[in-house]
Amino acid sequence: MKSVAEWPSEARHCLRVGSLSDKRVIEAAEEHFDVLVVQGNLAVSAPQGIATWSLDKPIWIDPITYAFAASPAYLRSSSKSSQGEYKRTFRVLAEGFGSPYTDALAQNRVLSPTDFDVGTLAESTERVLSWQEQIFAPAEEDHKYGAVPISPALVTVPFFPLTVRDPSEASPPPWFATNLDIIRLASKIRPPERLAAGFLAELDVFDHPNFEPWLNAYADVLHATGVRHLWWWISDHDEIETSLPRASRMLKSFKELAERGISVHQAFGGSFSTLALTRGLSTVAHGVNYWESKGWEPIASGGLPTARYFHAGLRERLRVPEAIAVVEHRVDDVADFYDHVCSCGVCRDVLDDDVARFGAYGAVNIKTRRTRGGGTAEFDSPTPEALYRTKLHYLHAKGAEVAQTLQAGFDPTQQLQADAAFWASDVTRTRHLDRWAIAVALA
Amino acid sequence: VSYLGRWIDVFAENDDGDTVVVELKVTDWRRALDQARLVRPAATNTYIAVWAPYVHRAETDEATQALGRSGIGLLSVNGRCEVRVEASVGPARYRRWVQKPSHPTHRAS
Repeated sequence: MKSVAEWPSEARHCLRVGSLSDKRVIEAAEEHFDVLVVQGNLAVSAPQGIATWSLDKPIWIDPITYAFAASPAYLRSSSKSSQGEYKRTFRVLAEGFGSPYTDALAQNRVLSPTDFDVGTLAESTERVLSWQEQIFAPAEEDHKYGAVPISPALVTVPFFPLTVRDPSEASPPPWFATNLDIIRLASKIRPPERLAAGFLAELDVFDHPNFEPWLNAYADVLHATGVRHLWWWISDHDEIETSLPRASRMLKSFKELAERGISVHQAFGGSFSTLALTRGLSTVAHGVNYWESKGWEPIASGGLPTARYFHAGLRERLRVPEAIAVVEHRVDDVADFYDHVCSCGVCRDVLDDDVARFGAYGAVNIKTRRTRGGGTAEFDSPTPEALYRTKLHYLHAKGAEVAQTLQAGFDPTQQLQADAAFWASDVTRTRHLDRWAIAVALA
Repeated sequence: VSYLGRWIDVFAENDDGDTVVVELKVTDWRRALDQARLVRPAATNTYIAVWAPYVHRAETDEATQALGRSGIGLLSVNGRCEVRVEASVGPARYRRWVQKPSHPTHRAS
């Protein structure tokens, strides 16, 4: 990883890593993103492992302080052998952050704004900031081998979720004042240009009549303190299913914040956010074929992985049978596929000269398991090769999407309308493309 | 059988390699059609099958047009099976991605 002393101003595309097992595909897609974002729980699980990834990319840490404002149940291990203990990563993270994070875990309760009095606020903010500065420092015995500390691109100010507890209540969300106090305090103990604040709001807050004044209050504090970077995260905001008012509100917010000199970084965004890169948004982030939308609670979600194909025209991750049905509707041969669907290196390798090889993106292994009744049942799971291909294609396609958006003369409205018209069929939805086209045209 | 992570209700293959896929529903022809559209690239003939007392719901103008556009046929099932709309023959280009079970089984939830 690359150590940097300041934010790389040319960066427009961040990749969030959610699993160390994605190392291979991330390294193979290095040219398709600018900054690697690592969550605190992953950073503590293998700091030296990540620091030595052979990527010439800056790193940005999300300390996930908000995780401690969620139910402690989400921080516990679900394995039977753990007997309900906290996951090691959250324990280590809390120890790194100190009180009141450790107190909340010890007392089996959520962290709340009342945990932060004047003294606690200063000490815990310092600890969270310095934890990020030191987590990727090599062990002392490794210095003689040339190992150097990795300085993150920005240091994230601790932040907590804005939620509406009472819909009739016009006063700001419970964490609102504390979040702003932490930003003010952090700007006094670190150079503000090295800091990034976080704006994490639930959809209830995003839809609240007072959303704009609350966001303006954040902008005022950022302006006054000199903090110029803001993580933008509307929890569970699905861009495919979003409404026109929400899409428009997001673009309007980006534009107004940018006009005040604030670099807005979408923490979990999809293709609509990518299109916003020319409309006030500084960077867009997503995971490795996941996390285009994410809720802050629950903290971790499990389940079997699914192989999804990112369809660049529909700008949506589709299950492979759906992607095939969509493609069959419009594509006759490989040349058609490259013209209308994707011509990235991964797709060319997969298809070769046979469009039906497209199915390799969804290849599965059939497995058998015992049922409760003593019989057997079969289920399938994606092959490791299929998962790797879908992830690598996704990273290629998202890189191309960012490049296309930033290309001089690119007209997103025209492109979205053309794609919606071309791909419309009984087997897929295209309404989101029309909705985005309207939102972009109005912005 | 499994088709790229989807489970097909009925899959049949004759000696010359032609295949028939059937998606079954008691009443809801729309859901059956949605599912059948996704598996049609893997089959020569694709049908939805609806329980006979409810098959009239799949014979409205709307349903007939939707089936016609998709090339998917309609079966009425009630102890015996009756073809109400013939499926049109598809190229079955994705047949190779159908995995048949090694032995009779039931679907895992």
